[in-house]
Amino acid sequence: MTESFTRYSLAEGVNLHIQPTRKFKTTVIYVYFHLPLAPETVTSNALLPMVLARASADYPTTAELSRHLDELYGASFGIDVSKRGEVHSIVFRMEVASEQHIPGESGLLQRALETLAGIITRPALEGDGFKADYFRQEADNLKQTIEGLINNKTRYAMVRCNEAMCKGEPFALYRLGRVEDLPNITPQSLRQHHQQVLSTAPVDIFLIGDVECEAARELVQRTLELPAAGPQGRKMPATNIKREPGRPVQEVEDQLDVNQGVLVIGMRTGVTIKDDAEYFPMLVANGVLGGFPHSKLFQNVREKNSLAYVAYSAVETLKGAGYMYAGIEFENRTKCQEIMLQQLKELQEGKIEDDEFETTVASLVNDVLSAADNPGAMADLAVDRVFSGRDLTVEERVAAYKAVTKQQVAAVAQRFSIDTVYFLNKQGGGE
Amino acid sequence: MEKHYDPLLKDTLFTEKLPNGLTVSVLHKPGYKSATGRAATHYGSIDAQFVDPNTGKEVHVPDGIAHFLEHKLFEKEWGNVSDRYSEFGAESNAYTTYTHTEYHFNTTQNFAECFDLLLDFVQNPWFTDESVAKEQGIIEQEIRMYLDDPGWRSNANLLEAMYVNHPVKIDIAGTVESIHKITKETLYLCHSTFYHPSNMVVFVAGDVDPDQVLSMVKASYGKKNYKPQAEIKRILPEEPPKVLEKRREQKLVVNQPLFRMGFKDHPTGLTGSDLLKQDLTTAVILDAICGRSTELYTRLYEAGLIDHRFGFEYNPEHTYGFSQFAGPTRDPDELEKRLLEGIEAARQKGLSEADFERAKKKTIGRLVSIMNDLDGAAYMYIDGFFKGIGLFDLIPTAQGLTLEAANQRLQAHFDPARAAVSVIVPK
Repeated sequence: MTESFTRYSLAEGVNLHIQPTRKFKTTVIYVYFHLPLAPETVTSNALLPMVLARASADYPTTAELSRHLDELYGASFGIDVSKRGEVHSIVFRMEVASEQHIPGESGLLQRALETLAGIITRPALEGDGFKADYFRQEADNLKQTIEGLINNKTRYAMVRCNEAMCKGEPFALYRLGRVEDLPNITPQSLRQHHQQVLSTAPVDIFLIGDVECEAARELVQRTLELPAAGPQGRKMPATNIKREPGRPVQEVEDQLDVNQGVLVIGMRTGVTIKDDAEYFPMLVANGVLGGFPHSKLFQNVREKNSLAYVAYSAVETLKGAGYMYAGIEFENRTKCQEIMLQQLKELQEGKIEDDEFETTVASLVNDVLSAADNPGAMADLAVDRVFSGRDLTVEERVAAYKAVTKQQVAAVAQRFSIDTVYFLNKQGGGE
Repeated sequence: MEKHYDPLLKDTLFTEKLPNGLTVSVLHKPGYKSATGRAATHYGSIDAQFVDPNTGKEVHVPDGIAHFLEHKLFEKEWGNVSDRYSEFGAESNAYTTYTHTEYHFNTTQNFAECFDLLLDFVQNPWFTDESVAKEQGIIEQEIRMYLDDPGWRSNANLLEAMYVNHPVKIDIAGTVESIHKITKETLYLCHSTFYHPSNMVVFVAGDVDPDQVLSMVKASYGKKNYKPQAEIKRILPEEPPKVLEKRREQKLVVNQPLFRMGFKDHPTGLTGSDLLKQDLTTAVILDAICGRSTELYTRLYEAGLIDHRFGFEYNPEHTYGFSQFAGPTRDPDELEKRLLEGIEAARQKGLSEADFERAKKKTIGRLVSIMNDLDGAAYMYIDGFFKGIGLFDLIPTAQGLTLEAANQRLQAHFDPARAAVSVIVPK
């Protein structure tokens, strides 16, 4: 069996990607609606799937919907909103046990798909809006969830750094939206937004499991009925890439009553998934800098200097942003920052040991290969393919990593420029 | 090796127990590109007091030492184990629980080298005063990170409230003070005691040859001449049935209160199929009384007392066990009151056949899906192994659960006299 998705176009801007496999004991379906990340819609985009997930016209209360899913052997249904570059995607996910592992059952996948399609396209309504109670409860839940970002100091620090770095750009928006928008959204306006989403957003559907391609395509096409696209068609939103900060490095500090400081250094990498020549060198550069336990940041911040338990770097591959992160003692802020910047400098100067380099490539290759054993990771790679517009097989991705040279890595790292240094300090904390 | 095929999961497990006491298991997964190798010891944070099998003397080591040892086994005279794994293109990691410590790698390349390294690094410690001092700095940051984690703190506070003496009330990582009392000598003592093959298991999952795995284990362990070791005597204080405190509160930087309520098991002491039956029965009960499909869940949700982050679970162990319910809430007192009322009403009425069967079906489906990936299967295998539970026992046991037993368990376990509450309140 080949390990690659077969792609079908169900309509203009609506694509189905099927990976037939008997490796897994479940079948998983992801449905992505891609929308522009914009201040006017960010909060509605986040709220919409929360309200839809409560019920459907077929199962008009949450308890009924939930009982129905239980009867499908605990079919697991979930929603999310993801942010890749300035594309805000609403994601619906359904996972159901394969019939080969449930004796005497048939049609589980079909029933799961029908349920999913009902949730997405046939909501429980009151007049021309969503059910008022469900709407109100979810608006309140979203408010609490947005405000609850502060409960996780790691995530909070990352979001705050990014917000400061990209101020004025859509990318500064938090993926769950803004509390201040909530009073202006009504059950009616959200329902209108829903119809807008269904008819304008490009759609990608990923199906991974024990299916036969043609039959699965037919099943999805028959089950998930989307309205015809409007005159504008379904267009993939664009992301604006800023190559340089365009100002001196900015320093941002928050103070909270916490036990540990968090240092996040935000960078503009200037390189994205669409840059054919530099994309793989950039991933290797991040790997050498801080992607793994053997990387420069972990080795120098944690292993050599005992400053942190967590120290790493990460890149955002659609916007061209990067982050270096460490959780540290408050008084070690300057020392840690110096070490991190020194590591970036060494990378840019090409001071990369052979084993550092080879180890990074081997680790990235392992990540690509092992993705084939996990449905979620397979879907992620398939989403990457949609965004890059580059249809690489697993083998081609492996070859691309192996072809990267140290010179390319140093050259691409020279484009990384520090934008914002963020520190989460203790209350009343100085340096 | 002994071969066991499960017709429902369509998986094959090979197992052998070596003369030195080590159990080796291989879950054969044809078509998988990656493989995982795991070594685990029946040694967790609660095992700080034991009888040294060599001297017969009782020892009490500093809290957090099992976790400290886990960190330190990655450091060798020749360098760092996880760096070596990276060179092989593999990922490696480890974790310590209250009851066991596990080391693993996942790889798509160089399986034999990775597996040999696992067998070698876990069995051959190298500790120095300098490396112990360095680790104290790193673990101190790990402990401080958790001090700011409301979920972690709320869990820790619940355990402190529920248990009077049992060491499950002490953090797995210990405290900043306790880890500074750890020395290389105590680390060596704990390693030689608890990393004896008779106290361990080796597990592999992937598209690998089970016989090759077995011969590699035999070769690696053969290099070390293990003398037979009697079962380790672990010393646990007597735990009374009652909870220490009904309620514990802590202030942290959070946006709304975080509620957690636990029901403490008494008596304890089950193992094997009895423990598994109790585990799955309790899981089904929890879902049948306050899962998403229930009236209680609906009422709490619609009153704004819980949201999608509300969850519950049962934590079954040989020496302790408890159920817990947790989630952010606007009003912890009201949530506590209504949860207790809902649970009490279920005890009065008993579960209905329909709710029980529905929750059972869901549990079976979820067990199937856990077996989807190698990490899930490995976790289930190792956690079960030290409790005397086999990987392929889970689904048949779930299928065999009865409503009658569930209603008895509902009565016995959810006794409000053995409930405690932990609340994190906004600073």
